[in-house]
Amino acid sequence: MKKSNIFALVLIAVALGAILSMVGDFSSYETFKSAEEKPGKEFQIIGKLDTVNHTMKYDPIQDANRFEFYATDEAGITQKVIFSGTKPQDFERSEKLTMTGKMENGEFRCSKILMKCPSKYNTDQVAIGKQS
Amino acid sequence: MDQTFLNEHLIPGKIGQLFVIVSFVASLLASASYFFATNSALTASQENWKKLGRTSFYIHAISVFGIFSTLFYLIFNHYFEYHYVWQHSSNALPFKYLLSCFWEGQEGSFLLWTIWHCVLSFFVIRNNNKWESPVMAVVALAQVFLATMLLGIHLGDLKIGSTPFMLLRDQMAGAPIFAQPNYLSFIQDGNGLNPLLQNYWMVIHPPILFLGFSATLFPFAYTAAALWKKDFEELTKPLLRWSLFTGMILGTGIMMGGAWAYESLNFGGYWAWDPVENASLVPWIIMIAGLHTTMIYKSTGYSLKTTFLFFILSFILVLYSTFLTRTGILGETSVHAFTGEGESLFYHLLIYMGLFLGLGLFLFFKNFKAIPDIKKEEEALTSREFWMFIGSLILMISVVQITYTTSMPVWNKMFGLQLAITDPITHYNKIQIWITTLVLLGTATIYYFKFKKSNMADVLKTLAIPIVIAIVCTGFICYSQQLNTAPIIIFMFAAVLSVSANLYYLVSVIKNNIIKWGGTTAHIGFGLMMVGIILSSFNKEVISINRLGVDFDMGKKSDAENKKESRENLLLFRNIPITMAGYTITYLGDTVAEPNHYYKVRYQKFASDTGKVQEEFILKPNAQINPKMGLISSPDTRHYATHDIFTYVTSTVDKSKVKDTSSYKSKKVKQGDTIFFASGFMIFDGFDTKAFNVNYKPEISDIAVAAKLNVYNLEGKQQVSLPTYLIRKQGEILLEDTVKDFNIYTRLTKILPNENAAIIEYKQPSAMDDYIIMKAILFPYINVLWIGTIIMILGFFLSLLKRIKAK
Repeated sequence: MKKSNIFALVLIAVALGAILSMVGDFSSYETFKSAEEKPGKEFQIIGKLDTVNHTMKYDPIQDANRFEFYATDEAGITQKVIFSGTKPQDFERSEKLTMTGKMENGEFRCSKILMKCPSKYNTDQVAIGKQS
Repeated sequence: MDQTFLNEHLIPGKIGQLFVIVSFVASLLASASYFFATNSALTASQENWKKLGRTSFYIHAISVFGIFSTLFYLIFNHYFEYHYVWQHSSNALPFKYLLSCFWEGQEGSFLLWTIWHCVLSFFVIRNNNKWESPVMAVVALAQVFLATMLLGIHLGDLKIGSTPFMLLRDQMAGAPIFAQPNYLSFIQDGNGLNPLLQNYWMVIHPPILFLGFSATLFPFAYTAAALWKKDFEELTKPLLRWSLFTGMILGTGIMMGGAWAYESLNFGGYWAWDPVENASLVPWIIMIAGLHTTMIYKSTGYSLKTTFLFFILSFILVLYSTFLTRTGILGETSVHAFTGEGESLFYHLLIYMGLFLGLGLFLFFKNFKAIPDIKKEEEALTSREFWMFIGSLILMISVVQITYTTSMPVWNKMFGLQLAITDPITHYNKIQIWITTLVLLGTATIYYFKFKKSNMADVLKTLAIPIVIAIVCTGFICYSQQLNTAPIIIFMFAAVLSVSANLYYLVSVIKNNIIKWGGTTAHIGFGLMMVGIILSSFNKEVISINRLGVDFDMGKKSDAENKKESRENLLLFRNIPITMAGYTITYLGDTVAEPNHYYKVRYQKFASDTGKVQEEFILKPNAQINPKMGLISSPDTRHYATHDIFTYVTSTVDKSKVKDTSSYKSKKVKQGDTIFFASGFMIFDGFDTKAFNVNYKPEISDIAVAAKLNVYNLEGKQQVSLPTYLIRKQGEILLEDTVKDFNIYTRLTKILPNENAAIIEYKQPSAMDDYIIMKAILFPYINVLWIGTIIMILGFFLSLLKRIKAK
């Protein structure tokens, strides 16, 4: 066998190993309930903004980095969400939210929100939160 | 009975659609003719077929330009009866952005792609050599598929492609408005171009990126041609030229995308491992791998098989990237996933991809045995070709990893999963750093190895100097920039070594033979880019840290980090200075140039001893408060040689919703009298019957008089306010004037001609009602990244020049 073939095999093994080792980076979309079971771990939850039974709270003068709202996940559970950032413009009009964060003391602490708005534009998603 | 409609311009659309059909038929004919030209046994019939192929291809190309011109004509004339025009443009769109309408929509993007294929094909035809027929048969086949994307015809329930000449009333058939013959008089304006695309980067970045995408077809076509004809002579020249050209253009396009993101998006960076970014990066990496294996083949006769596979893959992955970005399959995972155009495009692209992958692999395996290779003894571990080959494989690991994760939504769809990645940046970085480190070490040392076999003692001896330089430089950089984690230090060393070793090789071996500088220059540029990336991202710092309010656990290890993360947004009341990272920053107010609001933020640095202003500049991050898309914030950046200060507005107060609680005060003044207010004073300088404030729109028989007020703020700066008193049709109108910078509103309520005096009313709204919330990020040494990019592109250009000159 040629040396380059051996090398190639080694590299492929390393590559496979590396990719397999990162399976832990993937997580399924969770619900508030399943996130509650593993407090402290980050999850992505898909939900809808609930403005019927609850109100949003954002007072930039007191704290520009705290925005509270209630969201209903795909299992139908409504939970208080605290987003550490500014209230996204037109948040009221969002159809669907993908929130990244973790459960803590019955609240979902969220660092990133992807919101889907009904929009006539092609690029109809607006990302809010830390991209980096 | 067909209904007739008023004022429609149907002729250009019909002409356009004719071009679409002709371009499709002609490409089909061109592909078939070139196919027979390749496969025919007789020279005479080869020539005849080739002539027919050429003629059909020219007709195809002319039709493609016809489609483009017709569509441009429609957009230029704002014919909103056409769906594409209505969807992607509006009356107010400035001329310079008319072209951007082409790449906002799906049809326009495919059109652009087709156009570039036509343009590049002329270089193949112009060479007029043995490759023309087989290569053009493949190129024309690719064009057939792109042409079908624009057909927009229905076969039963199946819709094939979508035409840019679709009428609005057909697209939205059934909407009640179209029941009226004069429906067009209700459609006065189009939907408009996405504001994010109304940016100069968006005028140049997409066409260049598409040129790069289009160019990947040619190495593929030459590969297919060589396998088809079982002819491997005179192959390296076109392969090298095309792969170098593709590498240069695609690389430029990708980095321009990064520059655009940095300059005008509020991502806070130039690269986010977004699926759309990855999808364009992957074909580039494979193209680079193919370029290097072609060099191996040219110099030693090895690795042609691998080269072929790389070039086949690169084109297929361009199709795959289109599939990912255009069909909406990315769904929630990407910020700039374009909406899906429905099932038909999904399968259309799958068939396109499957057919070309099948074609490539079929030709490859059918002729596998015929591909030249050298059967010989063990290759030397000290040979350049061995390490170049390994380097190319390492690039492929990078490709596999990026593609695997980026394709997550595809796996989800295929296997019914629901997986997503919570932190893509860390995920990609933690493996790509190591891969890039290996690649950098390769680029640093490869020139010191000779083809076939090298003397290791010599290699190490000559490498010693650049290694020592790199160690010293890395030590200095890591110490001064406080890079303190092992992977980053190793990564930095590899990047610095790549620069120093290539520079040393250039100076000591190649010397002033500029035409041979290409490879080393590209390597130096790449090394510098990585240095720039490490410096700007490792020490990237959000400096707008809010120190008020409550703590918030952000999942970071230490409290300090948590606090920092959660307070990145800073609230600035107007005219109330705040200190931030050594600067005193003040929000001075906004100016409006529709549709943009510019928020003036003043940065000042004071000398600690004297208290004098050492440095002062104003940044004007802007935001569009778009009725459709909400707040679209674009940053403004202060560029220094060593760092950038990047500022953008994350939220503003909606002034229309703020209740103004302040009330007007009134004062009678004569010429020369002064009125004092909270943050300044103004002097009445008499009446003016010629200059009025901007709100005044003259009409005949108006009587208008303005009071001229010289307004001074506390710093002694002066502006003029011209509140205007107007008598129009026996009614009096008070035209208020605003000096936004000084936050003062004035109006002239009464003129007392006998006393030569005026009654001026004025007010200052509360500063608490006027604020912005902003974020500021410091990017150290980001210029190293941009300079590195330019040097790398220059390296590609020099190499390309060398290959073009080598007749």
